[in-house]
Amino acid sequence: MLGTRGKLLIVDDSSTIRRSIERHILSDRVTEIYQAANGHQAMELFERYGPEFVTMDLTMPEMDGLTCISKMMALKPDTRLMVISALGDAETAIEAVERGANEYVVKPFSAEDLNLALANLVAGS
Amino acid sequence: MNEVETPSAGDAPAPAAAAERQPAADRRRPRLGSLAWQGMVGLLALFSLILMGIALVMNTYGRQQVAEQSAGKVEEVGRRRVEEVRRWLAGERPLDSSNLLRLSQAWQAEASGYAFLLDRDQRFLSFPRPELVGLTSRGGAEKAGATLTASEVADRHPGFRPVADALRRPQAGGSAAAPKKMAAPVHVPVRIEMPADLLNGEPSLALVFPVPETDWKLVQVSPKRELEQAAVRISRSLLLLISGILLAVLLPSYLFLSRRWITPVTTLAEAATLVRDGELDVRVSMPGRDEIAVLADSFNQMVDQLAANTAGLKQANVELGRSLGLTDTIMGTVREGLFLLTPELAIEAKYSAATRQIFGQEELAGADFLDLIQRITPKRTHELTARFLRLLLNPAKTDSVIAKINPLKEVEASFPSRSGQLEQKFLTFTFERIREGGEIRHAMVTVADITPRVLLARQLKQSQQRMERQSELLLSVMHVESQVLREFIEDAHNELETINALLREGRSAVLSIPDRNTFYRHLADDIFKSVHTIKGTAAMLRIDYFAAAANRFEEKLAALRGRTIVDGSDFIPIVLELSEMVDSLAEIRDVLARFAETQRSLKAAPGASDTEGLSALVTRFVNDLAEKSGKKVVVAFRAPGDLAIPFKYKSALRNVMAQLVRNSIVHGIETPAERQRVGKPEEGHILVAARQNNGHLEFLFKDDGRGIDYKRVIERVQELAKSEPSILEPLVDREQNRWKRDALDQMIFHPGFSTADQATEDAGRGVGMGAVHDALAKLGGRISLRQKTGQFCEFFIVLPNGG
Repeated sequence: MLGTRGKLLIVDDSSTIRRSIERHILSDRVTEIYQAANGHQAMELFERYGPEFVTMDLTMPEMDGLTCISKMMALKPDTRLMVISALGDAETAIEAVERGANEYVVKPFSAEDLNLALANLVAGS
Repeated sequence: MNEVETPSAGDAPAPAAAAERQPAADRRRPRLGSLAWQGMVGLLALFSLILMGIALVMNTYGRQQVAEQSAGKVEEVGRRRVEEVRRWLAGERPLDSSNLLRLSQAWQAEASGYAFLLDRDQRFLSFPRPELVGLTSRGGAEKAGATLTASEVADRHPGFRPVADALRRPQAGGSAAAPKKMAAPVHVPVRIEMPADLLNGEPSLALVFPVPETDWKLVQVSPKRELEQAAVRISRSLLLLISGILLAVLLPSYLFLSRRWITPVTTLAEAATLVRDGELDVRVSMPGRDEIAVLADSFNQMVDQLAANTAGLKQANVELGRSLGLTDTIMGTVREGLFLLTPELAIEAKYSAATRQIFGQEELAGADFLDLIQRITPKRTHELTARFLRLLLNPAKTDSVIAKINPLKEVEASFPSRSGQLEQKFLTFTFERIREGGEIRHAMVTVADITPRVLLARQLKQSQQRMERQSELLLSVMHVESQVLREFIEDAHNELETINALLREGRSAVLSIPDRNTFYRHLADDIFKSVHTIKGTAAMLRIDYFAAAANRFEEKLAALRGRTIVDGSDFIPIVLELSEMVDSLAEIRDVLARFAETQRSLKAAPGASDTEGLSALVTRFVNDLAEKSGKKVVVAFRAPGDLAIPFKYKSALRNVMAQLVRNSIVHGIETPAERQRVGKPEEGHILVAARQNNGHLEFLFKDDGRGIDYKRVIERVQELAKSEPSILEPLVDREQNRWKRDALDQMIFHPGFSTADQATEDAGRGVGMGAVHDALAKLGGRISLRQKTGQFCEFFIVLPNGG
């Protein structure tokens, strides 16, 4: 997985966060970026493009992030998925990682937090 | 290097030295030298076996051969004698009978048998014992034929028959023609076995030689016994010879073998013993290229290898010991709990001393980590931890994400303390995964007690909240009339006290009440009313946080009232909430007091006297209250401008004055309408005077109100007297059977005189003249009353000055 290049799907109901993630992504690792504002949209894009990387908001309208993670992992288990959550509790975090998340960032996050987590995500370390 | 040299012949230092170096007698040592002894014994056995073999061979075959050889010797003797005879004849010495006899006797004197001569007719020419063959002892017959022939002798001595027969055979005599042809012929003698000879009658060997150049025959006779004796002699010397040769060969070869094999083997055995006992610098040196040398080489190499391995092992041991020691040092010193978890989530044997302390458990090795967590944390934390640890052991999950989802980053744990109660601690855990070959073999766990840090953080937060509250309060204080605030505080305090009393009484009363549910319900209702009042006032005064606290209280009560069944334990949160509100109120009071002080000093002009301050306060309060109660009151303040009021009196005096003013306006001074009716001016008057007198501070408070309502005072006294009859004693004039008015005046200072029903809104509840009396008494002062019903009421206060 080291040094994988691939497509990124950003799932977040806040366009501000989506833009923030887009700005911080390492351009040489990510070839294409897709954005989804809710769970249904996210699944649609996921099934159509099969992205290698996903950043996932947990609290979203329509379909919550945890359900999305399960569905994505069932479809493509080697997806590298980062959770960006406003829920700081350990249970949600553990639940997300149990379902297959590879990284976890709690909102509000600093640019540094995000950078590091994104780097970890695409590097697969 | 401790070389064990192969000992040269004659010295054997190695075993001795070895014995000195290794006195390990208890171990099984090879019996050194036993191999040499065994070799020697073996050699001896071999030697005797060879000798026995030789003896056997000689006995069976050699004896005959030796006998043959002896016969050869006899033949030699015979030939020599024949030659002797010939020489005699050649020397033309007369061979008369006497000479022949001598010769024959001389021959007999020799050791090897005897010989005799026969003439051509086989008549005896000589014989060692002549009489046996018819010869005279002097030399026999003069002429031939006088002696006996061989046949005749054989007739007499049958043992001689074979010789006689042989002499008669032609071959025996056939050789007679030969001497003429040969110069020195060597005649092969005829060999005859005689069963018994003439001379000794024993079995003998007779050799018949023809005497050259004559017709004579020489018969050489040797007894067989003699021949055999010779043979025995020969074989004996032969045995000796062979033994000598064997010894000469075997001994050196033994010595050689011993040097070559046995000693080296012994040396090797000795060296091996030393090696076994741990002397790894032992080497053996064996020159040459034989198997022993190869064995020695192999031995040396083996010991080298062993030494190298052992040295490596020792080094490893030392390093292991050192690192174990270091580990122990680290584990003993590190302040954090530090331990390793196996994939089965058991705690490994090595853990820091602090771990023990943190968990309050002596033995942790092998303990199940989850069990430990279960014991000290709530169920939910335990479940989360179990889920987290599964993820921790999953190598596919990254370290960074594992660190982020750790549910034990800050966890509240409870431990049973010595007193049996639960002790709360805040712990923080970190988990580091230790990978080996892609798998997670261990997790290194640190745990630290962060209770002080967490508590400090909480305290900081609390004090921050308090600061916020206080500044909020200050803000509200600044826009609320101080008097109103003070009254609010009084009221709130009283309400809270009431609630407290309700709860307290409720607790004891409930035991005797059958319908507890209803009782509790009423209790909740009563409390609710009180709190609701406080809340309304607080909100009005914009003391928001107090209002919020009251609101929380109210919500809890509302929840309680909503229940179908109310129990005593449901009031526990109410009690907690109440104490919080009491604390808040105390805080407000404190802030207000400080603020009032600040405000007062800010308001007071520079150089303003204490009396001016008091005057301003009283005036303001009188005006406020009068306005509120719809009465008209004029206040006059008389005091010397330089009158100093000690600081410690100020607060008390303010309260006393406030109470007196309140009392005066609420109970004393009539409404303007009433005053008109009784012929008084509309405006009531209050006079406050202060002075210094004989080291005392004296205060006078006088109003022109209606004075004391004796009817109500007597009612109250009678009520109190029901439980405390003795109070009547100083009040009643028994002789005239009437109340002593002066004494009744003072009753208003009696503790408990003020009652709730006596109080009106402005006078407040529970704070009556009793409280004023007590406050002054506390300062060492006293208060007295003088009044005239319908005319005036006058309070006189004396305080010690300078105290």
